[in-house]
Amino acid sequence: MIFRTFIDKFTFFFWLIFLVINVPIYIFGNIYFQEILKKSEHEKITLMLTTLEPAIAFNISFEQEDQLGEILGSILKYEDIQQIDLHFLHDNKFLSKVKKTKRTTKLFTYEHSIIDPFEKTEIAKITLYYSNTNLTKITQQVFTTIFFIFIFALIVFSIIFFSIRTDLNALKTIAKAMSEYSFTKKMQPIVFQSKSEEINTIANVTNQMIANISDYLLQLKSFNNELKEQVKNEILKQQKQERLMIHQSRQAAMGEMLESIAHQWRQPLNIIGLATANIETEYKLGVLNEKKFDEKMEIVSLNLQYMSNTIDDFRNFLNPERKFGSFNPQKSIGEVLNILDAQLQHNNILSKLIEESSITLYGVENEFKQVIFILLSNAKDAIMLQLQKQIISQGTINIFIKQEKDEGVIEVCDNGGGIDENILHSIFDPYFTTKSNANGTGIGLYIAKNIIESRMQGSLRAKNTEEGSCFTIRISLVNPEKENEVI
Amino acid sequence: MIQRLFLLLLVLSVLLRAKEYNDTVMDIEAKLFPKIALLEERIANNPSPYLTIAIIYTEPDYNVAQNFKQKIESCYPNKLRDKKVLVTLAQFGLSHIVDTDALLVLSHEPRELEIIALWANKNKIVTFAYEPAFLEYGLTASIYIGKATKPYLNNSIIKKHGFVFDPYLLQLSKFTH
Repeated sequence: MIFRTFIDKFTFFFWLIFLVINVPIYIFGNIYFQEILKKSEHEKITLMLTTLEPAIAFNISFEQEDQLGEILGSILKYEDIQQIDLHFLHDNKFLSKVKKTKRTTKLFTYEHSIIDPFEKTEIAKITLYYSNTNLTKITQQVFTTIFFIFIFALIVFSIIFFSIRTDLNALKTIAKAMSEYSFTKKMQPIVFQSKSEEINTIANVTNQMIANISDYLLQLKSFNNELKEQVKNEILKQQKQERLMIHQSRQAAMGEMLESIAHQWRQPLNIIGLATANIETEYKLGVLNEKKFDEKMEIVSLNLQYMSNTIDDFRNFLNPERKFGSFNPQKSIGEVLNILDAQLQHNNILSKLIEESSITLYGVENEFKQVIFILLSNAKDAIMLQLQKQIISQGTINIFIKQEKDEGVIEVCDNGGGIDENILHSIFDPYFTTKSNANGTGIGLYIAKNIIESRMQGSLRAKNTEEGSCFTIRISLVNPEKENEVI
Repeated sequence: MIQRLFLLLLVLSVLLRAKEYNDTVMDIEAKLFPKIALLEERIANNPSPYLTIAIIYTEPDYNVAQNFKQKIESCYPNKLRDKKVLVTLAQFGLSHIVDTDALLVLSHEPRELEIIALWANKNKIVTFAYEPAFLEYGLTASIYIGKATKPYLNNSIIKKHGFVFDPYLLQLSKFTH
């Protein structure tokens, strides 16, 4: 059974209790009481006759008819007994007493044997004729009493119910007001006067609470606005900071680039220098013919072309355009290795790109290249330190490209001695560096992790190996719909 | 003539000490005396299987006594309240009465009645008189037979000698002082 409101529930149970208390009384009165009374009446007559039986028996035995008459007369005084017959068995005589005012109601009979006290034989039989007039009268009185108790209970219950119901209605009003309460709607105070102090207190407290909530709501709104403003400012500040950091990273990368350019250009510049010096010498010696000139110019042209290509590579790398798209990581890593190739060779570092699976990644290729550049530069710096300390004689950087389930995995592993376990958890923090001030800004790995996790929805982890460290990039191969998005 | 005849009979009866005994009265008394006897506490509690009633008579009443005995015995051929009723005859002044529960005294002589009553009460034996009038000589119980039958008890003797009768008997009896 579902009760929608507390009042419904209360009403149901209240009247249920009323019925549970009163109906059994009525049923008991109606069904059992009469039976009990009848039984009681019968028992009373039995008791009366059992009590009088010895006296009757003695009187019969001593042939005391006058006394018997008196005894039977005394029995007849009992209101419901209408007639009494005494049948003497030895001479078949009858002694009968009948009430003068005989009633017309149905008569019940009750027979009882009289036993001789001396010879223990049945000497007479007594028959009582009785009506239930008195019983009916008692029953009516009882029912009248029960009826008045019922009415009294009904009145008491009704008074209690209606007095409580008034308070419950007040509670219902409060509950309704509370249920209709909304932050967006202005609510009128609950106004009513209850006799119950508690209800008035609840109403007052509710009104006060609503007023307080409204005040708090206004304060909250104001606080929210302030917070929004603060968050906005913080985000802007953060973005500015990140831009600054990326800029710093690029600056650092550019420094690395310039060093790479210097390394890349050193050999062609030497060749060009030698070629022009040869031309000049041969021209002064008068041995410069057209063929030789063309040969030298060819050399100069080729080297200039090489230098130009180098510039193109750097320019591509430093291209600020951030266009989302699919790219081949093997090609991107190869280009970064090209840039760093001269430096790596110069520092006796052997790099190997091992493509175990051919995969296609999704993201901004230049950003990915920047990550690879950072990892390779860090590996190079670590190896150089190991070489300087002569712990190793040959630096190696192995780059693996593979696929694990739905992920593309790129591992950059070196033999640069690894990372101190105590700082392994902090290496991706901004401005954290183990390098001297001149060599490191402490934002490379932070930027790398940021790009992989925020821009490519991947992960970047670092671990130590036996020889050095291993950085693992994991990027989902499921292509999110961000094709051609330009930020 | 009739007057003479009546006078003659009266003189003869006095001379012979013969008394009047009504047969109906005897019937009723034969029936009720054993019952009254059994309603006395001492007799009722006596473990003996017999209720012994001795009829005390004087010589002229021998036949009456015999008749009484027969009437009692015919009334109670079987047991009465688990006791067999035994009736014995004892002539006044000659018989020695031993171990009896009650005495039925047929004498009309006050002196005899007083002697018997004195002896019986001393020995706590219930005595029955043919007429309630004889209770004044110290006998215990009798029966009045008129329009109705009514046991009579000698209240002073009962109290004085500690006879205890059933309350129901007391209720339906009349008392002499």
